[in-house]
This record gives sequence, C-alpha cells and structure tokens, in this order.
Amino acid sequence: MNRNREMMLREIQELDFRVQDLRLYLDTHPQETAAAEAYNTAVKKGKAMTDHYEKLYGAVTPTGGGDATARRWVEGPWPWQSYKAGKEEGAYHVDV
Amino acid sequence: MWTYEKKLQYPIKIKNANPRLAKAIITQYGGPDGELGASLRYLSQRYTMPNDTARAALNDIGTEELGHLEMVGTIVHQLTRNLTMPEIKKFGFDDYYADHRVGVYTMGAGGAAFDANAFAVKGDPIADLHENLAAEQKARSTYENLIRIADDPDVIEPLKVLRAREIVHFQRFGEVLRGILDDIDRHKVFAVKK
Repeated sequence: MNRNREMMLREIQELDFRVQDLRLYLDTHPQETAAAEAYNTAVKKGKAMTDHYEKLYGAVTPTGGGDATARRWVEGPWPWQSYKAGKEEGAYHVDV
Repeated sequence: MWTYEKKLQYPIKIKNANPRLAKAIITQYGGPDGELGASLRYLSQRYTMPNDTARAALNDIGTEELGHLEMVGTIVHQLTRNLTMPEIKKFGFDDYYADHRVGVYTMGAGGAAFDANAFAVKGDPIADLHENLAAEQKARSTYENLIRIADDPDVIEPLKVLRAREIVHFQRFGEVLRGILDDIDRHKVFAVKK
C-alpha cells in the first residue's frame, strides 16, 4: 500500500471514528445541537474523502467506487493484511 | 442488515510475530469477555429493549463490537504470520498449531473454546443493561491486562483504543439504563390523601 493511500485511508478512519463516537453519543443525547452539527460535518467530510479515495484506490463498500467495483471488489489488500519490509503480506506464507 | 467496509476501525500494522502474545490476546476474540460475546449479546438483547434510545444504543454498540472483533482477529493474525516451525516451538505455540495451525479460532487465553453463555440474554432490560455495564468493565480490565503483557507498541496502540471504547460503551449503557429507570418512575402514581 503506497504512502498516499495509507494516509488517505487513515484520514477516512479518523473521520469515520468521529462519526461512530458521535453516533453513540447522539443515541443517548439526541437533543444536543453541537454534537448533531459535529456529526453532520464529520459525515459529509467522511463521505467526500471516501469518494475521493475510492476513485483512486477502489471500493471501500460494495456499492462504492463506480462500475469498476463489480470486478475489482475482490482485490486486496484486505484490512487484516499489512505490509512487511515493503512487501505485501500475500507474498508471505501464512500457513507455515 | 450489515454492509462490509473494507477498512479497520483503527489501523493495525504489526511488524514482528509473537505467537505467545497472540495466545493471550485471542481471549478478546473468543474468550469470556471478548468482542464476539459482546457484539452478539447486544445485538440479541436489542429486540426486547423498551424504548428507541435503548434499541439504537444496543444496535450501534453491537455493530461497533463487530468491528472490534475484526481488529482483535487482525492482531492475532499479524502476530502469527510468517512463522517457522522452530519459532512455533520456541514460543510455545505448538499446542495451538496442532488444532488450528495459524487460523484465528474463537477461544479464551487458556484455550477454552467460545462459550455461548457469554451472550447472556435475560429478556429483562434492567438485568440486561446491568449485565452489559459489568461486561464493559470486565473487557476494560482484560485489555489492561493485555497491555501489561504486551511489549510491542504496534500491538499496544490498538489495544489502548479498544480499552478506551469499553469505557465509552459503559458510559452510554449507563445513560440508557438511567433513561429506562426514569421512565419506570414516571409511571408510578402516588395517591395523596386530602
């Protein structure tokens, strides 16, 4: 995973984390205006960033990333994989 | 209905294998206070919650716990990648290997397979929410134990995030419980003699 891709994904993760945390907060505090505004802002930013990422690197959800996703959804790296010494984990044997 | 998102809630990138540590951390995958039990407990309890706040909180926390299950599975997987047989023996991973190779299996730190009693659905909202408050504290405590055992910052960072989420969930469950208790009190009618 190249550096730019990793950084963009990290930004999406930060925004989506903000959405998740505010979601739980709003579940029990639905009347709090500041939290609702922060939630809406994070949702919009997260969506915009995800759209941008999906155009460059492929779908995050099965309905994102346009027509290419029909064929390219299967492509890794999947989230539990990572890179060791600049090589994709897939190049390593995981079953000993 | 759920849709998969091709990302973790928090990035995990572990450089060095450590199968002994993986055997401890796996307890948050399929152990008594692990993420599998938490997720399916909340998602099962939500059907008999008495108000929308409670239904929403259990639904949304149960969903987040599924993401945590994926994070713990990822930690276990990345700690057991790329092993040689001498390493498996050296790190005391041979017993696990005998049954599961380096697959990620639902078990506790002592090797006991997942026990569905962890789902603990009583059908009584007050009892269920107290169960969940205790569960979040037990999971918080387990993560603290794991952070003490772990010596690799690549592992400690995501464990700290998971620990912090237990505290947030505890807080939300407390608010849900208080809301339900307030509703019950509101329906009590006290006769006043004149």
